[in-house]
Amino acid sequence: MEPILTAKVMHKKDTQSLYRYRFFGLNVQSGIPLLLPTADPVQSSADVVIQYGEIPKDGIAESQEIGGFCQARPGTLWLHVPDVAWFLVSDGRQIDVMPEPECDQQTLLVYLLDSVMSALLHQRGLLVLRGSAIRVGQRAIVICGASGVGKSTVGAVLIEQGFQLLSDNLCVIDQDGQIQPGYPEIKLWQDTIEALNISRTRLTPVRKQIKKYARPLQTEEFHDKPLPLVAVYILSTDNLHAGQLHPLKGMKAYLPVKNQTYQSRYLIGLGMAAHHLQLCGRLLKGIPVAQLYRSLARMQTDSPTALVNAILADLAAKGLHADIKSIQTRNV
Amino acid sequence: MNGIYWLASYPKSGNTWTRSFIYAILNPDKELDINELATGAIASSRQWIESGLGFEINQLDHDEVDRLRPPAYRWLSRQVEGYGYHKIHDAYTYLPDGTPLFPKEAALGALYIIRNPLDVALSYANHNGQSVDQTIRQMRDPDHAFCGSDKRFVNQIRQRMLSWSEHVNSWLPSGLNLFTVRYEDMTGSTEATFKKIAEFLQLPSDEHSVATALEKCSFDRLKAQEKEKGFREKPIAAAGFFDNDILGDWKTALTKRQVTTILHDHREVMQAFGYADVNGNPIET
Repeated sequence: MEPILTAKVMHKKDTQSLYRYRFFGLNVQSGIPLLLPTADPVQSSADVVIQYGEIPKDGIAESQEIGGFCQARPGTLWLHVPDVAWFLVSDGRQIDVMPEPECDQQTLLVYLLDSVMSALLHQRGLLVLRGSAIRVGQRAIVICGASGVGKSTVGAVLIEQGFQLLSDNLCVIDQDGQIQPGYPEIKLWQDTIEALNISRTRLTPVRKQIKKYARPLQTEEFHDKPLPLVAVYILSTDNLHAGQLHPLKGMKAYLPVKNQTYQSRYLIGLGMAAHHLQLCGRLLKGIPVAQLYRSLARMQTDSPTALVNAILADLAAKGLHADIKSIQTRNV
Repeated sequence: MNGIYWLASYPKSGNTWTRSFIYAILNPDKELDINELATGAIASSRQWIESGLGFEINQLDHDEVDRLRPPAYRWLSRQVEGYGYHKIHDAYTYLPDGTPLFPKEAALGALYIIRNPLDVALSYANHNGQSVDQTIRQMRDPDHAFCGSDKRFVNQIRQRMLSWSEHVNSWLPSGLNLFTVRYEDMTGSTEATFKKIAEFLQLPSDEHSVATALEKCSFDRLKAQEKEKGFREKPIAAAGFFDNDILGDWKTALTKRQVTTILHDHREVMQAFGYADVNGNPIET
């Protein structure tokens, strides 16, 4: 495992190295190691460049404030995470990073690979949902929901049953309605790891300050090709309707999914709000959406399985029974 | 001048009733729905704080999040149109460098609601589905906190309560524009007390508005709504959220030993607020 690097060491060590990756359908060239599997030496030019750079500490001109530490204007997003780094995201093609002196690599990556990357993906006109994408046959479902609701926990149960993930947290749908595979890992809190009895051997801490762990996905657990979207499930907590699955129709389906957009607060500042609305309307047309509820109580050992069973039963009712069966049979 | 008012209280001290009143008085033409009390996000709402920052805080530890709360509230308070009324159960605490988590410049004021800890213990025990003795220990514990787990994600951020007495004593000298009100005066002199609350919070405070709002959020109405369709904020473990009628009061429901313990733990504050006399005996309010 790569050691945790401080900013000083990161700068000194890696100003000349270039790492190549592929995720969300993009060839990425980075001067900062992302602690992800690298791609083969690039055949075509990079779609996205990540590099160290000088960034104004106080913000950018002619921009909208999005919270106290973020500013955006069409084509540019500036973000300062105190004690971590400044980030500048430009035109969907470039991310500049200026770490704070005591920032560690893991904390930097938490922000670079989630919030900052989502800004770049928005700039590229993609639909970015907060959700886990799971392969079912030749298509994929997305399980959306607020941070911490249990999407990854449900994903972990599905992996155990033989399903493949395309992504764990950021779910990216391109303009053709294809879900693009993301980072080949799943991140779980200690509570879930204990409840599901997950082996600790391949877990690495996301950050040393928190009890959340990343588990790289093996080849058979991760689907690295794009797949068309077939259904969306929105997981939320609600004591009154716990355990229930409610199909949503029309505008009642559209708005909840739109509201699952990752960092949607960035869209207005980036001038992408109208495009985003149209994109949602186009990509979600005809896609069945259902609300799935769990109780506010902690997910006990059997709750994620119950949620998974509700999803699988719903997919079977939609005619995907054979796809589910073949996955589960393979895993026996 | 626009800005935020905090609605501060130790849990089970009348905060929901107060928010119901505020909603009712601001929305005279709407029906009150206990599951849709949109007066403003709770101070510990992760989503609200993230909107004040512009980035996520879901992979930071509690102390790191605490350092970001003051700038988040400062920014949020500058964005409010009119007045925002935000529930807060946190004690008024400070970062290691002395910065208050809830800066003075980020709030127009705070309404602090206090309730007899003898009744709080009973109600809090019911709310948490735990014994009164366990609750009394929690109310004495300076390290008591909500959402303080580090093994799992919780949708609110950590709220440090301190002990019940320390909670009261943290808000009073905060230097905020503070109005303290007793729950017992809210029940005993309802119209007069809520009129003062409305005046402090810059709400409509004429007799008709106050009376109409109070009628909409009477205990019987809130209880009936909970019975009919449930209350989103009620924990699973609790028998009911609006529980004044089923619990009785401390005189009948607490043992002598429990009463003595609470008095021992919180005597000074209880005396300061008319819950105990000079000899340390409970006053029946």
